[in-house]
Amino acid sequence: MSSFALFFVVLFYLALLFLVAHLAEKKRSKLWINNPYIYALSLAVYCTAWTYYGSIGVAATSGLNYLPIYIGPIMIIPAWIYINTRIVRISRVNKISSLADFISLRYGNSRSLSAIITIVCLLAIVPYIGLQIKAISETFHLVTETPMSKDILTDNATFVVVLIALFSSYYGTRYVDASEKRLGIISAIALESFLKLFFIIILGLFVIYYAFDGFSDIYEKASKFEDFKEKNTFNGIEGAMNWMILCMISATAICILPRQFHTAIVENRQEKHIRTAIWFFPLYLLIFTIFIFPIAWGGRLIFDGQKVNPEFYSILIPQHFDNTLITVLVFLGGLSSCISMIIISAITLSIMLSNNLIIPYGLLGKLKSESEEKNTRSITNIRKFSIFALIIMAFAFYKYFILKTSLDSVGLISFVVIAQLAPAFFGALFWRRGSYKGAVTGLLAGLVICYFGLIIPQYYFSYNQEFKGVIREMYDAFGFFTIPYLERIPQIFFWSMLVNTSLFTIVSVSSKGNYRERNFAELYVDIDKYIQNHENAFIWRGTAYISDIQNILERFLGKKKQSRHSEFLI
Amino acid sequence: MIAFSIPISLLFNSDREALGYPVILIYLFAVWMISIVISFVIVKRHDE
Repeated sequence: MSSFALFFVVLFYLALLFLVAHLAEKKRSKLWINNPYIYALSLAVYCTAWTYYGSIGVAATSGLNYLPIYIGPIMIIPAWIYINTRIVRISRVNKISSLADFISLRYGNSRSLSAIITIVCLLAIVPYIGLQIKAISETFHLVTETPMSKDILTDNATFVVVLIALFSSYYGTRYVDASEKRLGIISAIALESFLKLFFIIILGLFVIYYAFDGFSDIYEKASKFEDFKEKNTFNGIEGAMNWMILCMISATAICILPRQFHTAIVENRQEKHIRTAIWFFPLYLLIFTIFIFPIAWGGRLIFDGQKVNPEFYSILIPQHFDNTLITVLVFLGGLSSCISMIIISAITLSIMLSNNLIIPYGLLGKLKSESEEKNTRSITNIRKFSIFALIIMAFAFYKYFILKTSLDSVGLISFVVIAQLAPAFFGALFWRRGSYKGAVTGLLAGLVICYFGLIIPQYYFSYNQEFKGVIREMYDAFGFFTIPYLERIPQIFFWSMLVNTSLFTIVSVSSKGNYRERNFAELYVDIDKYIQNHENAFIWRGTAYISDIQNILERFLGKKKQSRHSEFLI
Repeated sequence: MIAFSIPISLLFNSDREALGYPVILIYLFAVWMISIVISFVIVKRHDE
């Protein structure tokens, strides 16, 4: 398929999304606002290019290891009915618009903590967006069968990325009040979630029934591979421990990833929608993962012995059978999983950047002096610019650092970095004594471990073969802490979480937070009690009879005036 | 959560086959399915 044709398909697809977002915004009918399924589908922004392409690669090369990313969420989701209901209540009462707001408010509404959290999110999410861009540009070249161009300006995929950056910077900044609900964009995301599932089902059925003769056919043929049995069992107790830690990483990620926080908490319209999501979202993930298995093994059977990237089996298989329609559909599915992730992440990151970093540290004085209208415009412009800049930054990151690494490894590193927020996050909900100092020390220590354990090795090796000089000596010094039976990522997760959590608890217990912290701690931990008082204070929920009101009015106004006023009452 | 923990999932970690498929896969997906059904039932009951 030619690049131009595909480019127009992409354009058309974006226009369709735009239309859906616009219609949902305009109509605001009850069907849209009150629909719990839209909320549940929008949660599926969790399934990114990593799920769509990366998991297939993992399933084909290392078997069962693709499952923890989905089993982890399944383990924690039933607890949402308790955890998320509370977070939603806290966020609604305090008008919270992002993850950084949520955590920093609990620790005394601290400006520095929210800035640190924003930087952590940037560190974790920009490579993750880069990963999506990598998937888009590589599949674009696969579908059009064009070689990747070295020059960024002539590379076709660059234009697609710029198009997406424009789309999201326009759409993400329609509202200035960051805690306002973006109905349009959420409906578009829900539609995309539905489409990507639909397309992967089509592809799955295509592989099972067209390329092969039913599921058992694939299974029978695949079981002749020598490593099939090894791949479909845990690799002894060591493998199982790695597997379990991966589950824990993804379980924390589904609660704390900024885009999950945005769709699950900030965009939550009614608390009871969480109840639908609790069974609907696991079902969604189940269908998704069930189809990954035959696609991965089918791909291995078809391309046995050839040198192709297993991550892109889902594009290569229909292409192998010369089926352009399904190839394009799969490409669009992948595109929608990328775009929804990019849009939501960029929106929430830009809110954090503008509210917690740029405005408090640079523009506060200026904003105070100007008129409100001007402020609104400059805030929107900051957000627009930061969304655009973020996506371009991620693009540069992809071009320089992750050109050769797999989708899976980049995503997991992001998960581990973001998991550093977990002690402060869950501590905020359940532990009164947690203090600002504890949260900051734990977070910084965890970050340092992640930085030296994961980020440096990962990206250093894309330019160098091995450690040299001082860095090498430093790594040798820490060789003692290497746990031989854990892989690198689970290992760093284990150490960083251990240090992070223990510092958080020790420092919190040994120092006393100031009155603001303690105040917010009471509010967060006892939100159920608080929200009752809060609502009682503003809305009087009782019934009054007209006769009672008439009696009271008579006392103040006298009988004559009372009868005149009570006409209005009735 | 208990059902996915290491000792219990390792019980099913054999290369035996049930219904023609690896036991571990069947087990994991079955637990997954059951957990969906349980939460669905609980949620529906809670509603009324």
